[in-house]
Amino acid sequence: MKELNDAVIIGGGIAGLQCANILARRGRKVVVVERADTIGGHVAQWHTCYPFGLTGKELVDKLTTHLELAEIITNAEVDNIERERDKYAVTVNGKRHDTRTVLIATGYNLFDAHIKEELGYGVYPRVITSVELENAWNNNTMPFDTSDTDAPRFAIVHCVGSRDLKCNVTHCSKVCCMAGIKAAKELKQHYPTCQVTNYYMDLRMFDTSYEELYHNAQTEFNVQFVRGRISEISLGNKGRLKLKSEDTLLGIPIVDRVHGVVLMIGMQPPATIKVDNEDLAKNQNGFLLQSDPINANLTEHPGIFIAGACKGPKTITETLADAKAVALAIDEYVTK
Amino acid sequence: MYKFDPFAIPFLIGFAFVIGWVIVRMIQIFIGMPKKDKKRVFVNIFTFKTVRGIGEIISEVLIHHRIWRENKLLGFMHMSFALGWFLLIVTGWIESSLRANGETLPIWQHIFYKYFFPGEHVFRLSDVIKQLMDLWLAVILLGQLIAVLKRFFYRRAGIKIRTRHSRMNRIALTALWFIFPLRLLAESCTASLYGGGGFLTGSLGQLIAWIGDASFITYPMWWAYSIALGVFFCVLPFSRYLHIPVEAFLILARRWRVSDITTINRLETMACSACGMCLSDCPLARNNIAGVQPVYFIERLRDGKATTDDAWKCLQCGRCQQICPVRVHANNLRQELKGSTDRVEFGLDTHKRVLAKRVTLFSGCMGKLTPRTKAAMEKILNAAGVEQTWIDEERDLCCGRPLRFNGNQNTANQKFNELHDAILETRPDAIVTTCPICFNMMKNRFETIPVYHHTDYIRMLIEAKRIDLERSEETLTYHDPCELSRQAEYARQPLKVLNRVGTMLQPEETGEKTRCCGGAVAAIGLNNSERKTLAQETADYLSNRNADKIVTACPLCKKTIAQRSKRPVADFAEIVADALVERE
Ligand SMILES: Cc1cc2nc3c(=O)[nH]c(=O)nc-3n(C[C@H](O)[C@H](O)[C@H](O)COP(=O)(O)OP(=O)(O)OC[C@H]3O[C@@H](n4cnc5c(N)ncnc54)[C@H](O)[C@@H]3O)c2cc1C
Ligand code: SF4
Ligand code: SF4
Ligand code: SF4
Repeated sequence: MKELNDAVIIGGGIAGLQCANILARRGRKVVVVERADTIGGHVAQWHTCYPFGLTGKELVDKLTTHLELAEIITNAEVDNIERERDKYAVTVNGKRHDTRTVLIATGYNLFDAHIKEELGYGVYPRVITSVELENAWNNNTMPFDTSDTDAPRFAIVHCVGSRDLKCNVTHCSKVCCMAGIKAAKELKQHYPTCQVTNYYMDLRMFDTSYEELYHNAQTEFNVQFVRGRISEISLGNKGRLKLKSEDTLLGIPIVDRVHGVVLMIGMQPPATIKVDNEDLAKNQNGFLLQSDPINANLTEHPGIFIAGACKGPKTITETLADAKAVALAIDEYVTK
Repeated sequence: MYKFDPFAIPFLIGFAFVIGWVIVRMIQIFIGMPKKDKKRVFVNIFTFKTVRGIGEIISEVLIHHRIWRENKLLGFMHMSFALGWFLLIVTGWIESSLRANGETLPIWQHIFYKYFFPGEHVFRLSDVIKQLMDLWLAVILLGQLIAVLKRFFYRRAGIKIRTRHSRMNRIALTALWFIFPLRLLAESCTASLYGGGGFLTGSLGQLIAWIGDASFITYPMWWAYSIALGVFFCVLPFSRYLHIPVEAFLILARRWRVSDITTINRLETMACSACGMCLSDCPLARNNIAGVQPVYFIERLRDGKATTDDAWKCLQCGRCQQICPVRVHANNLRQELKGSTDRVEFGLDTHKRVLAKRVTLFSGCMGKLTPRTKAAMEKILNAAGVEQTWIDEERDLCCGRPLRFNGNQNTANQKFNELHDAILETRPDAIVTTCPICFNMMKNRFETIPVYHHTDYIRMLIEAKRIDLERSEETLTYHDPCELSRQAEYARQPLKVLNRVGTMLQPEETGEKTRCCGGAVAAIGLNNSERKTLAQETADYLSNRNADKIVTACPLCKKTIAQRSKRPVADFAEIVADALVERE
């Protein structure tokens, strides 16, 4: 008789880890399957995370206290779950794992900035994404070469690949407004003489501490905020980039010349997971659909749960809360 | 020999009505034409143009040559009805005239010849003619059999999507379907009593005579035949069969160079035969998004009931126009509904082609969203030693075409004039644009200066050996932009160039049969999820060839496909720029 797991968790991002950690602590038999070679998902790449200011690494470490009790398989991608009456089977690297429940915590994919070609990503080296900015800080390198100026100017472009009908994307990625402010401050800290302007559609400062961080960015760091979408970035003279936009508060077209641009790329739905070769239900934006209004982690298949950013854009705080909720739901389901 | 019988009355009423109706309508249209076009009609009517027009009428209205080209079975079906019936009338007329031996007969005696002159008659060629008459009838009946079977086995007949016809069309169709079997029965019954008839009616007549005495049904059969004709003619002007007379006038009007868009639009509205060929490859039909294909749209237009969807959901990709056997320019009809005209010619710029030392380039609003294309063009032109000015590098200029698509004629004209003047100021030898939408707007509108789409200009540079290309291992799938392949009729040449630098993996629907990328600026009534569906379909269609790259030549196509495809998408210029060989 093959051994039966309590839960197979697909995705070793913070959602998957939080849930695995809790279940393992409670003596449940858990397997975590992660596509990448390390665990931690996107958060592991972030240099510092708002609102607590921890590094991504520190945060992930806090979620691994009991993980030695769980089985962790990296470099393995799952795309199909087989159903067998009241249990499921997930095949990883040719080995079959039978389980009572499956948690899908596959998170999100990053928007490919090449698609917004008009913003010059992949054309001008001085246009980078928010992820490349995080990587630069992680590697202790400077993201932009400013040897040609004493007073560099930078622009941070919000909503790249989010809320953009031209890309057929309607959803807001929720975290990039804050991440954009975080990026502005970090640029100020690394290039003290610089001027940073954030171009936004509207600022979604929904959590208690966010509004304060926003004011703080203006008062203490002198970050400029312009309400307007960038229509086009082209090469100006002296290697600078020329940004065209409209200040929609003042109603005037504006042209800005800068030494570097950071694109706040949005979150896209993850790759499809199938159950018996049929796609799991999705919402209109392609994220996984929550099937029950009260229990946030249920799908139409009893025993298959979803949590984290695979349901739609989420902050770290929200992801962790959601993952804790799913741990409870799985625990109850297995006890039943 | 003059005879009359009341059963002919239904036919006569219908016939008089339809002739009167068509004459009145055509006169109305003629009166409504601007002076210039009336003059053209008079100038051209007695020229070779009319002869050619008649030739086209024979090949399209009778033989249906364009339908043959798309679908043999449907071609035969339409031809058997049209040509068969036409020959039946002509041959019948000859037969009755020969029999009348010089006397003039009233029309009903020609039409119902077999009733008024039953039995065997011997005159010159009578044997041949009577067999011919039956042959034509047999051909029509065969066509009808196909038409009936087609209703049930439409997929077998190569029809992808079936047309839902209106009530009027169904009444007319029923009447039409009754006409020929009733004629067969009426003539055969008469033959059973009096003899005569060819291999069909004669033999059937003998069979009926062998079964019994048909005298009691013969007369009612002639009544039924006449009623079927009468009903058909009476509903004809309100049904799709109106195309039969009007298409002939449309063909002549085009031959006579009538250019007034309203006139042509009116004629085309009436000339649509509701054949439904425009349904089969429309992306909106295939994806069940909107029933605004010309076959439905034009029917509503005739009834004055066109909807906002008709105006704003169609991509105006032109796939339906390209397939339409009547050449109905549905895009012009939609523009009329939108309140602006977008009459751009088909084909390329017709000015003398020059390689030019100084070119002025225009990216256009969409081209500005694809800076990689511009960078590639700069590289190519530098390599070829062409002096370049990018007219909208600093200024924002617009060709005005998107505004036209959206019904804003005045601003569109203003925008175009601004662009026109700005370009002339740069005194170029040639104008090049990387956007096919702008290209169609700009071609032939710069007095003496030729306008090129960049694919065409690059091809000229290659042919003149101003740049050298190197082959790579890459496989490519080229997506023809609608505006380039259908509107500018420039479809084969880009492939030839690409063939020199990579291995092409083309999908089935390519060239002028290309699928719309889904990004069309004309369709502002489509919502986001509908757009997504359309773009995804095309992106998948192109990705399915598994080429290393998808290549296209329109900034809008490029952006739309790139968002949804699994393969990277590049502009034609980028591919050429990558393949450039440096010269010392
Ligand atoms: C630029 C940027 C900065 C951000 N900064 C902050 C911040 O400062 N504060 C904050 O609160 N939030 C921030 N966020 C949001 C944060 O990244 C998310 O809340 C968090 O990553 C969600 O975690 P998750 O586990 O749901 O998904 P993910 O982090 O995406 O993890 C999913 C994991 O599943 C794996 N996986 C996916 N599919 C499969 C499969 N089929 N088989 C196996 N494994 C699979 C992936 O490899 C990945 O490791 C930021 C986001 C961005 C884009
Ligand atoms: S969070 Fe802000 S930047 Fe991100 S998509 Fe929403 S509004 Fe745009
Ligand atoms: S528009 Fe053309 S293709 Fe469409 S139904 Fe009419 S005649 Fe046929
Ligand atoms: S133009 Fe294109 S979208 Fe519009 S009806 Fe014709 S085929 Fe369909």
